[in-house]
Amino acid sequence: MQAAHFTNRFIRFVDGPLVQMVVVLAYAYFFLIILSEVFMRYFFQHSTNWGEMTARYAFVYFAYIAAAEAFRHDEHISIDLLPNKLGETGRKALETYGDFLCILISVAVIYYSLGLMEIQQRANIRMHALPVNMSWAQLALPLGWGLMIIRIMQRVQRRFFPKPTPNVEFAT
Amino acid sequence: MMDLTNMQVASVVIVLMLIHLVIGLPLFIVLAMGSISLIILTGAYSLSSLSTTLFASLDSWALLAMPLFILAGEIISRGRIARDLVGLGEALVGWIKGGLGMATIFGCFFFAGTSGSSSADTATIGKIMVPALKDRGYDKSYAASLAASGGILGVIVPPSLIFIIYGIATGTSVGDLFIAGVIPGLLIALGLCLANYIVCSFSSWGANERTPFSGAGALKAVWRARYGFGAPFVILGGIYGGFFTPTEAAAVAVFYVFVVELLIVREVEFSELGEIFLAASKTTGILAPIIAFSILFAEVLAILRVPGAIVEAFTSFGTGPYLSVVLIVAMLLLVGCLLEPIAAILVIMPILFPIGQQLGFDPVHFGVFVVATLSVGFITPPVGINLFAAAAVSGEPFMNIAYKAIPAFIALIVVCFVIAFSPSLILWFR
Repeated sequence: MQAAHFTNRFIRFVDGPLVQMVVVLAYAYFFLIILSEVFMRYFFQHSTNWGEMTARYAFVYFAYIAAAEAFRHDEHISIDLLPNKLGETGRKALETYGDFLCILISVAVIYYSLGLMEIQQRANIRMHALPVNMSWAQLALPLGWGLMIIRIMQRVQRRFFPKPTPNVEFAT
Repeated sequence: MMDLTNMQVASVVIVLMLIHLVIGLPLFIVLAMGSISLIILTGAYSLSSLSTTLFASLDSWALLAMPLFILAGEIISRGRIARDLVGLGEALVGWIKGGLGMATIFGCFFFAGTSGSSSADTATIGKIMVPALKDRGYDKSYAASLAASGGILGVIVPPSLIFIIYGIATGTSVGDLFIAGVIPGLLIALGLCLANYIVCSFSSWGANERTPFSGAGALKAVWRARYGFGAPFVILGGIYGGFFTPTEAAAVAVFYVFVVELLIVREVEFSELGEIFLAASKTTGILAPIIAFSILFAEVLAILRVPGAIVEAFTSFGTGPYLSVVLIVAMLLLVGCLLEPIAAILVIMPILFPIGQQLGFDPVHFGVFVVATLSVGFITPPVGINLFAAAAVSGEPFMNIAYKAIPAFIALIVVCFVIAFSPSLILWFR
C-alpha cells in the first residue's frame, strides 16, 4: 500500500514538476550561457568554443519538451472553425484522428532518431567542441517526442474518461 | 514526365493538407503528414531525414533569439515599463482629437520596441488603455479594436518574432530586417492614428477628451519612460554598433528588463521567475514543431521543384509588377485570415519567396512587405489572435471588436501598398 502511494507520488512528480523544472533549467541555461559569452568577450576578451554549441543543444531539448507540454492545454495552432460547429461526438472523432496521426509521426521520429543515435554511437561521432558523443544531443528528439506520445495518451484519456487524473498544471 | 508526376502528387498532397487543416488538425501535424506523405509517395527523399532535419532545423543560433525575445516580452508585460510608455504616448498626442486613441497606438509602438509579439502588445496595452478609453467615453469595442490593431506593431517594430522566422526561412539578415522595420512601423502607427482621427471626427467621444499639451509634461513623461527606451537602444544599438548578434542582443535585452523590473523599479518579484519562464516557454513549444516541420516540408518541395514550377506558372500569366503585388496582397490577406502569421510565413515562404525574387524584390524589402501584409490577419476573423487577446482583456465580443477594427483594416491595407512600392523607405539604411 505504501509502495503504491510512493509510486503514485513519484509518477505525479515526474509527470509535472520534473518536466517543468527541465523546461525552466534548459531555458535559463541557454539564456545565461549566451549572456555570459557576451560579457566574457567584452570584459575579458575570452569566449568558449562550447558555450554557443551547448546553448543550441539546450534549446533543442527545451523546444521539443515544451512542444509536448503544449498538448497539456491543447495549445497547438489549428483552425477550429469547423470543429466548433460540430457536435461533441464529431469533434471528439476529429481530435482522436489528429492524435492518432501525431502518435504515428512521433513513432516515426523516435524510430529514425534512435537509428541515427546508434550510428553516432558506433561511429563515435563527437560534438565539435566537447569530447561527448553526438547522440547525447540527438537524444532530444526521442525524449521530446516520447513525452509527446505520453501527453497525447493523457489527452485521449481526458477526452473519453474525464475523471481527475494525476496531472499537474502549468504554474501560470 | 517524372516532374509532372511529382507535381501531380504534390498537388494532391497539398489539397489533402488543406482539408486536414480545415477540419481542425494542429498545423504541425498537417505539415508533418504532408512532408512524410511526399517523401513516401515520390521517393525523392529519405525518411531518415526526419531525424536529421528535425534536429538541424532547431539547432540554429539565429533561432535562439526567438525564445529570448519572448522572455523579454513576458517580463515587461508584468512590469512598469508598459504603463510608462503609454503615459508617454498620451503626453505626446493626447492633445489631438481622438488623442487617447492615438496614445494607445503610440503606446503599442513604443512597447513594440521591447516586445516581439503582437498578442503580448495587444494584451499589455489593452489592459491599461481599454478601461481608460471607456472612462473617456469611447465605445468599449472600439477601444479594444485600437489595442488589437496597435498590437500589430509588435511584429513590425524591432525586435520582431516574425522577422526572426522570416530571416531563418529565407536566409535573410535578421539584423537588416529589424532596422528595415522601423519606418514601416512608424507608417503603420501613423496610418492607424489617421484612421482613429477620422473615426473620432464622426463620433461624439473624440472631441471631448483632449489632454492639453505641455512641454514640461512631455519631458516628464519621456523621463518616466526612460527604461522603456533602454531595450530598443540595447537591441538596435548593439546589433548595428557591431557589439553583438541579434541572438546575443536578445539575451542582453532579457538581462536589461530583468534588472529594471526586478532590481530598479521592483514591479516583478523573484518568486515570479519560474512562472515567467514557464509562461514564455509555451509560445516556443507551440512554434518549435511548426518551424521544424515547415523546414522539412520546404526541403521536400524544393527537391520536387514545386516552388520553381509555381513561379513559372505565376510569371507565365504575364501580369505586370503592379497586378502581381495586388495578387500577392490578396493571397497574403486570405492566408492571414486562416493562419497565425508566424505559422503562415513558414508555410508560404518556400513558394512566395522565389516569386518575390522573380519580381525583383530585395529580400529585406519583400520580408517587410510580406510580414506587414500577413499581420493584417491579426485583426481579421476567424483566427485574428489580436482580436482574441483584445476580447480577453476587454470582455467585449470577438466579432464586435472585429467590426470596429474595419477602419484600421483599411488603413493597414493602404500602408501595405505604400510599403510594397516604396523600397527606399524600407532600405534607407543601405
